[in-house]
Amino acid sequence: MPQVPALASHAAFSAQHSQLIEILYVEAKCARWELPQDSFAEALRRSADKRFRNAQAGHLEIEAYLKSLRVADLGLACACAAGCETAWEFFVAEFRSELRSAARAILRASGQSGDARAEELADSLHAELYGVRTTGTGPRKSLFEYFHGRSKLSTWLHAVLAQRHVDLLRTNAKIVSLETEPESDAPGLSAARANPAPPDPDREMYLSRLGRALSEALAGLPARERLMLACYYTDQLTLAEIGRTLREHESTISRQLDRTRRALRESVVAILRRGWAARDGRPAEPGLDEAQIERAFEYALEDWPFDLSRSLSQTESPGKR
Amino acid sequence: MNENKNNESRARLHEEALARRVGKALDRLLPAGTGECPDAELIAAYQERALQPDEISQWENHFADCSRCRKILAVLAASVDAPLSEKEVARLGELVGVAERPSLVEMPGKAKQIRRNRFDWRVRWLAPALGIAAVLALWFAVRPPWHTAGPSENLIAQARKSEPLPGTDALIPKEHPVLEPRPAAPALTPPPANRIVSGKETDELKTEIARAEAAPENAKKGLANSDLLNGKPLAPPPPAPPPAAATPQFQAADELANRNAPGAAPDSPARDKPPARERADEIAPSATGAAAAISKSTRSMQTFSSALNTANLGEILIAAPSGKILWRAGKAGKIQRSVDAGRTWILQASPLTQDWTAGSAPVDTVCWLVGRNGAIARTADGEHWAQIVPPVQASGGASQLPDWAGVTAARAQDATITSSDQKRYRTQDGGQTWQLQ
Repeated sequence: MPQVPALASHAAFSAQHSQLIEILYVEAKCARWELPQDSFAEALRRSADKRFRNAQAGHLEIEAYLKSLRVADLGLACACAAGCETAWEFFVAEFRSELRSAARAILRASGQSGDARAEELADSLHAELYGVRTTGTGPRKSLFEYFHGRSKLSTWLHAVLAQRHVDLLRTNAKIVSLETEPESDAPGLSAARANPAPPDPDREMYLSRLGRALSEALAGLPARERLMLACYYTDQLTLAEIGRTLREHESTISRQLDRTRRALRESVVAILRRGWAARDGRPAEPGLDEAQIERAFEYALEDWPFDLSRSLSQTESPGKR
Repeated sequence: MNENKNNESRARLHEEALARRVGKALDRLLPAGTGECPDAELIAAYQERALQPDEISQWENHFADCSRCRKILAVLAASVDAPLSEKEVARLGELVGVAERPSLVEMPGKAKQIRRNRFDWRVRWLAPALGIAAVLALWFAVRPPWHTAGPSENLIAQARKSEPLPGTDALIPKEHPVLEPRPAAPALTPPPANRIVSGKETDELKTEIARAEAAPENAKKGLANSDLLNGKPLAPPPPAPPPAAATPQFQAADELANRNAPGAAPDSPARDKPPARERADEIAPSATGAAAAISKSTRSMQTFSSALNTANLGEILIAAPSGKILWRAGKAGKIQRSVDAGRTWILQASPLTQDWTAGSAPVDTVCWLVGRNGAIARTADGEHWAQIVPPVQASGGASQLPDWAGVTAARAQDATITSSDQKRYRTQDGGQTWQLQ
């Protein structure tokens, strides 16, 4: 099958996929909303365009993607965006209570509560979903235009609510200086503070190498494992919450975190043992022996400045982005 | 051993320290370094595991570095799994309860509609109840259970037990003299146009066929519904043979039925003429109300059967064994499939443009279609159709392919097709070669 540009015009797209468009139109039952097939085809084209933007996609690939869409929800969203009153009434009847339930859950997750507040959060979406005019006499621009059928309409609405709520929280949150925030003692830190060891002139060298090795090891971890680490250690989520977010069982998350921590440490040890070759004007750095590695880890138990963003720019590993 | 334990615990300590340090570093990571955040739809699709593997990897890379997106994911996960409030559970219960009656989508002030629907519910059951009562009355009239000695005057004018009334053999199960109430009548009401027989109705149809097949042979010919289920157009049922000692009124009806029976071949639809049995009933005005009700049910069934063809002229219906998968094929190569026993239909891409005349589906994913001008097609996966080359030997000297009148398929590879001149060809290799039978 010939490669076709992902950004095909509406006419070309409709011609190339006419049969599938007709099948999907029937499957989506768009006729009940009196949604023209042409409008539905345009929605499919925009969805494919978004998915395959800046990428060459074959005819079969595009058709496989179109078949994977939630066409019934897409048809409803299109009809609502087009101003079909029947579709809008159906949407309100079907989704209003679910949105309010989602808003209540979102507020609960953030430590807030109140039915009135939840209703306000849920209903705030309705005006934008119905559509607002950007100019006095111009067409309405509905939030439904951002829905392309890749997920269920209900999940998308939940995600929109969640996004807005989180952004509002982040805007309103007080910024607490991390330097003044008391660090929770790492295991062993209390003992170290009680009995401070004599200053080691090589301490800075050990921590610098440890930081570089850690960045490199982190970059080599699979994205999902890094995500779990971030959820657990950065966001302080419980195992159950991480499991719910990543759709895994709590025990799976626990086992995976254990494996990830072990893999991280082993990787750091291997990198410290290997050392670094001369590069970009920097001299070569020989590997550390076992005693030195042990000492580096002991220093890691103490307060230790580690800036990932600076370290990422210096890492030798293949970029994770 | 103690040393090993100490080493292990120190290793765990180091692991924990490294992981904590990573966590703090990720928290301090500037948003600009993480790339653009995904929109709500991508986040929702990620939550539903609807993304492709490369997309999942790409976005998990981003999520690992972006605290905002992680927070959104956590909040979204919590909201999707949120338990409903009591009010919402009650509301869902109401929705489920009225799911069969969409007109009752709960709005205040629809009490009249609810009352009307309840009335309709009673009326809907009244017709079959009356029909059954009529049958019972007829049964007792023909064979009153309290008479044990000698024929009475009343029995002389009644048909003998062994010779059922015309049109009743399909409805009176011989093995169960007492009829049990069953909602036969609603299922026999002709459906509105563009609706095809449902899987449940197909099953009831099959039950009626089984009963008819247990009846005298002519009744078997009369109810050619197996043809219907195999995609052939219906033939009008020929009349039952007249009973040997029938009463004058029934005899007259039967004679008329015999005289007016259509002489058409089984495959030829005679849509314009009402079935002979129908005309016989009209001529016998002295039939009891029970017989009239039975005849009406029979007419309804026949009308329903005809409606399957007349509602979508020229279309054939093919049911797969499960009853849930149906195909509908008609003019100009049109093919549709239903996976919900006929409630909804999906147009399928057809390889040909000829009119389809017959079909056969041995399993849910395989269907053979035959049509005019040698058209043959088959799907082996239920979705994609491919043209099958017709048997060369069928073309004759004029290079013209015949119209196909029937097909019987045992498997995806094994099918037998019948031409309009009654020649049969069989393939056992999916149509690559054919043998004249």
